[in-house]
Amino acid sequence: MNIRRLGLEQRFQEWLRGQFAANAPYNETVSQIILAKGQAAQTGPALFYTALKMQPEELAASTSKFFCGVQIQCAQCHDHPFDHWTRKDFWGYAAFFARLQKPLGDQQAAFQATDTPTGEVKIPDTDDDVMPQFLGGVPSKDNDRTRRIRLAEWLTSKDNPYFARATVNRVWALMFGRGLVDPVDDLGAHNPSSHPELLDELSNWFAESGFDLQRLVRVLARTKAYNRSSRIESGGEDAPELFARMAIKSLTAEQLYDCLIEAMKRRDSTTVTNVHNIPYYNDVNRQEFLEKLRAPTQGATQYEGGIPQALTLMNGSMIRQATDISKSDLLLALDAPFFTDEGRLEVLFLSTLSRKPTPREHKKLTKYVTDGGVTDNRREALADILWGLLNSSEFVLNH
Amino acid sequence: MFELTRRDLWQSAGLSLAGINASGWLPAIANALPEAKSKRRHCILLWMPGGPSQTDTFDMKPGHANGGEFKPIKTNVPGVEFSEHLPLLAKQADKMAIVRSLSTAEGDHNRGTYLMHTGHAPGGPISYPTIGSSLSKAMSLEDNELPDFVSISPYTVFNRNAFGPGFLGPRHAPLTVGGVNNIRQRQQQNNSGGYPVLGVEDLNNTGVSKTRTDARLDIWQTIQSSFLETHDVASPRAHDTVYQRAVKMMQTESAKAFDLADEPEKVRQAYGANRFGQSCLMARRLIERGVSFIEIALRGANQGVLGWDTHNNNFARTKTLSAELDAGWSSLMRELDQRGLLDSTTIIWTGEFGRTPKINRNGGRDHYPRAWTSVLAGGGINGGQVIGKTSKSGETVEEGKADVGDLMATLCAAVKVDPQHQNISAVGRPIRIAAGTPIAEALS
Repeated sequence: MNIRRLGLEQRFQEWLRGQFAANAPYNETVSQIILAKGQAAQTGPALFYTALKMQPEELAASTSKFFCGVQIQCAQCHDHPFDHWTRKDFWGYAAFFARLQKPLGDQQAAFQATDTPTGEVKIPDTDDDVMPQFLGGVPSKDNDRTRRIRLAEWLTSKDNPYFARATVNRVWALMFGRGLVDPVDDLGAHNPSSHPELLDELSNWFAESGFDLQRLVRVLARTKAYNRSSRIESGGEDAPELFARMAIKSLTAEQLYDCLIEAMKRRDSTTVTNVHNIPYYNDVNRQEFLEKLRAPTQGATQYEGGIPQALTLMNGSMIRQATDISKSDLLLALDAPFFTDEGRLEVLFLSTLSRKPTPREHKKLTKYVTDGGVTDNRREALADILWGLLNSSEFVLNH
Repeated sequence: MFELTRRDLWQSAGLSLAGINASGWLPAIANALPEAKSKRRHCILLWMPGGPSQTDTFDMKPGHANGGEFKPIKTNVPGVEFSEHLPLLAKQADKMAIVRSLSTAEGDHNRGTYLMHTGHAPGGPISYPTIGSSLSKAMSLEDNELPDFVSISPYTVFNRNAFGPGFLGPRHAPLTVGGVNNIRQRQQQNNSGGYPVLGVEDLNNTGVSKTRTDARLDIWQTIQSSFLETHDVASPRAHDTVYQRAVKMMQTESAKAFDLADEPEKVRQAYGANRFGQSCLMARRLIERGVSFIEIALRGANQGVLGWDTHNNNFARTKTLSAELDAGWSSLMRELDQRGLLDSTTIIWTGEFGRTPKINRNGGRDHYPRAWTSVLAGGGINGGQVIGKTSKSGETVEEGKADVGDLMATLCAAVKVDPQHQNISAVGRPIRIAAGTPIAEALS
């Protein structure tokens, strides 16, 4: 089933966005995902089940990776080579998802996340049913509560040794470009944290805070580490795991799209995309842009784009709109007579790079504006500068 | 057979898994490079969406009820016969190895498309790269002006993920030419001068003159240099390099490869006035300019969305498709050969599976992964032979059973890339390009 085409992915994103905006405790959000019922088309969280086709092994691999930060899925086929996970760990965890109603034939659109009273998993090529057991080996005896309810309770509890750590590490990575444990999905004794005491303290605090994501982000944003510059003062690249300098991160395709919209300073929300008002799933331009620019989520500190992506950013419809002198509200606003050419240049820099031009840029580019660029047209000259700004490394990287 | 394997590296540099040390690798790499890169190699995937009927193309069953309407014809290799609707290819059978013993496990378009593009069944935690991404990554030479992987009119509807770079990241994604799976282009589909429009998306900004583009790039360079002076680390450098390469491509003569109007009318006609034929012609132009990997799809004369998926009316449809295939592919091989490029260009012809030898009541053939055919041709391939054998009815493989991994490994070996070459996946696990064993007799 093409989840993207049916707009289900967007529906899930809308739901998540709502959860984050309302600052719902993160353990409750995750619990709602694990316990989702009904059709994905109607409820956001059930998409998780639709996307993973109700397969116990896929659900086990994804939930353990996303919410516990561990790679147990390698143990699906073989005992983990570095970590201590065994096939029994994997299939015991997968057993929590064994009692879901299976989809019938090709009726994929009708996927419903519904619990059934029976259903077991077996380790492939063996005959014995594997009983549910939490990560770490504690079995969970079947009783009148569904397996999913028991899993959700354990997963999101303060006593789960993985959940708070995995979440804190993931948020840290989001902000710093790299986790205290790197990669973020591979927590375990074989892959120690660069700052173990810090991770412990943050994880405990986060659990005690009631899994308050917004407070976590605020705390991290106020650290000295987060406020460090990415400028290189002395030569050479230092060890990134020491966080001595802010890492330079690639923007995700979604972030880049929003930045471009922002740089256009669009005001007319009826005819154009507006990041705040128009539901994302109705936005064809955005979907097309994301299709071309989307990169894997790991490795924020690496630039993942290639020539097709560069061509899209230089010549594609988004940049053409952003630098269209009759459509860009930013460029239109610069016509105001009270601006000097220097002032116009500064506004362009501040709107895109949040800084004023350097003396060298100032000298060269003010002249370009005053001369009317190469077409004897001031507006077009400003559009040319805006084009250069929007394509610069400084704009497309978070530094 | 291979220039450089991971194991060789470890052994020659005396390294253990525990202590990989970059400087230790260098001598081994330096020794291996001159040989490995002494000759630029290329690969073309002729992708047949829908799954072509082996029984009506390269594994005929004359005299059996399953054989159907088509007659076999002789080729330029004694004992090897093709369908009567592939007369031009029959004259070049000496360059082709027909693998008649493919047997795979996926009989669904979506899953089969993924399997035959990545070598892996879909659905695990790993997002595997399409073969064009992994091979072009391994084959590319730094000095190329054009992207290493170009995909012409791909038919991605069955499974988008089968055509992407997977865990290798967008840098190894194909540059798409005349793709039709994008919302805007689906609306713009039309023909011009009898030929389908094939162009690179966003290669130029049509509203902006050359003078102005140059001025913009000059401004861009000024802003870039301010930032790079104080942020001279990997990701800004990578961004800058990719842009420089894209700009070079916009401005270079090489980009003319995409403009088929340069070709004489006679040549364009020989390839066929259809999307597949013109894509083959573009592939020849791209290979002349050093592109490593090119994927082309044959979807049918009317851009019928069903391609080779001939559940009904199999014979009329396969006949039409065969005519396009014959003209485009045979012209491509002939012209590459004339230019001395066929020796360094390996061609693979395959769909996601074959079709049932048994003809259904609608005069069609259904999905059949159990016993079917792919073809390898050109550089690195020992042409003029049939590999493996199916039963009289065509329903089972009797000799030389090969899986997708074996086919992929053979392709790797033909383009002199070690199938054991490993890339590191997103979950930190090293993944080989191809999991099978090369079919030794297919290789020259």
